Formats: sequence, C-alpha cells, structure tokens
Amino acid sequence: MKSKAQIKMFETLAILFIFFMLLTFGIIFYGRVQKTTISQETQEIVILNAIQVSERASFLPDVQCSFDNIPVDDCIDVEKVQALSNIYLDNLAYYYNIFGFSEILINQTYPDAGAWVIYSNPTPGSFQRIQLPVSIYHPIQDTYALGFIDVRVQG
Amino acid sequence: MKKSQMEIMGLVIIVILVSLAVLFVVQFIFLKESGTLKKTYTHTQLAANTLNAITKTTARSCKNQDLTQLLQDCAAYNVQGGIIICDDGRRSCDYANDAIGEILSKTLNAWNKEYSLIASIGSTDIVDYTTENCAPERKDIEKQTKIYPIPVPGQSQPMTLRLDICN
Repeated sequence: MKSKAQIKMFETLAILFIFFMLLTFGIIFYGRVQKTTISQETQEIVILNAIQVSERASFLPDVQCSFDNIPVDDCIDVEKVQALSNIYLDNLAYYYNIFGFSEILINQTYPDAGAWVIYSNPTPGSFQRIQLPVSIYHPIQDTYALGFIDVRVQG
Repeated sequence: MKKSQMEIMGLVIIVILVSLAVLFVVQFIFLKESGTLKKTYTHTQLAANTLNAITKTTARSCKNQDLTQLLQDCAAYNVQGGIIICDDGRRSCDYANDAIGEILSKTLNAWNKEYSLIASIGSTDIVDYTTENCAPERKDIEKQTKIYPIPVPGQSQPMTLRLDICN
C-alpha cells in the first residue's frame, strides 16, 4: 500500500511536471507570436507615416506650382524650392509639425541635374524611403524639367 | 480495449490537435506577407506621377515644345518620323524616343523597377520601353497601370500613352 501510494504520488508529480512544461512552452510560443504581430503592425504604422509625409511634401503649398492661385498637381516650382531650402532651418519647428523626423530632397534628372534640400531633420537609424517623379517648373524660362521627390522618414 | 490504450489514444488525439493549431498559427502569422501597402502606394503613384511628369517635360533643344507635342507630331506624321525638326537635326519621333528613354533610365531603371511604357496609336507603337519581366501580354503578375490618352490632330482616334509598373 505504501508503494502504491508512492507510485500514485510520482504519477501526480509527473503529470504536474508535464503540465507546467506545456504551459511554459505555450507562453513562450504565444509571446513569440505576439512579438511578430506587434513588429508587423509597427512596420505598417511606420510605412503609413512615410506615405503621409510624402503626400504632404508633394502637395506642400510652399513648393507646389500654381498659376493664378490655382495649384497644379505633381509639379514643383523651382524658385519656391530654392527659397524654402534657404529658410526652412529658421522655421524648423513649424516644418517639424508637418514632416517630423525626415529628410526631403528634390532631385532634377532631365534635361540637366540639380538637387535641393527642402527639409532635413533626420535622426540616426533606419528609415523608409519613397521616391516619386515630379515635374519641376522653371518659371523664369517657363519650362518644365523632370525630377523626383525623395522622402526619407525615420522609423 | 484496455483503459490504458484508450488513454494513450486520447493523448495522441490531443497531440495531433495541438500540432494542427501550431501549423495554422505558423501559416497565418509567421508566414504572412507584409509590406504590400507601401508597394501598392508607390507603384500606383509612380505610374501616375511618371506619366504626368513625362508629358509636361519641355524639350529645351527642340523649340521648347513639350514631349506631348512631340509625341502628337510623331503620331500624326509617323511615316516621316514627324515633321518637327529639332535644333540638333533630329525629328520629333527620334527626339521623343530618346528623351523618354533617358528619363526612364534615370528614374524607373535606376530604382530597379519593372515597367512597360508604350505610346501607340491604333496598332502602331510610337514609343516602346518594356523591361524583361513586364511584357504587356503577361497576365500572371500584378501591375499598376496608368493610361493617358493624347488627341492627335487629323486622326480619328487618340494616341494612348500607357505605363504599367509590375510588382
């Protein structure tokens, strides 16, 4: 009887041991799944933020072409760009509210090359990059060149 | 059947059910495709923005015409290669082709995009820049498409400028 009780006790201990092992594995597995899900959702949020910043940059009135106060989509006025690249540092707080930690460049590729920085406030680390072609209007010559807007958003 | 055999059967069923659950979780969470939002947005915007920008671009060494006007001239007088003669002696068809090729090489090619840009009127292709993996006939790949109709003087149908960006 004594040995029978001992056997039963060992049986109970073994069951408890296996139960807690399974519970531990389950918790570790669940933690891994949650970590992956959270990391994917964080990535989605960072990408959405990058898209928002690139949309704001593309439609920023400070650089967008306009004729008789009518804005033109997908068009950047080079004179406005040059002006903004000279003054954005003096108004960093204002533009930080719009662009956050990011860097926005206008690169002209055709017919000749050119580059302007219209906002630069990066932090070290990884970033999302979006490049979109735009027309670059030269109002003095009344001609359109082609380039792209290069948006790098931290995250 | 003995009681112990029944209990073992029960344990086996539980193990099988747990394994199936783990397989489902791995399939739908760990192997889930991510990052399609940015790709869809950038490719859609890329197609639209690229065409808009190309059509507005001024050909500075071709009487300051924009590329739309050169393409219209090329489409209207395709047999002669266009009647506009640019400052360097090239006709509008050659100039437009070269300009668009240069633009694409500095943008979509430089960004390693697969694309197909075709300007056509009827069954005649005026401009055709297609990368290896983005032929228009391929239906098995996802594409973002922008089509830009351009009226051509003297022609009953417009020219179509079509840009496909392939995923």
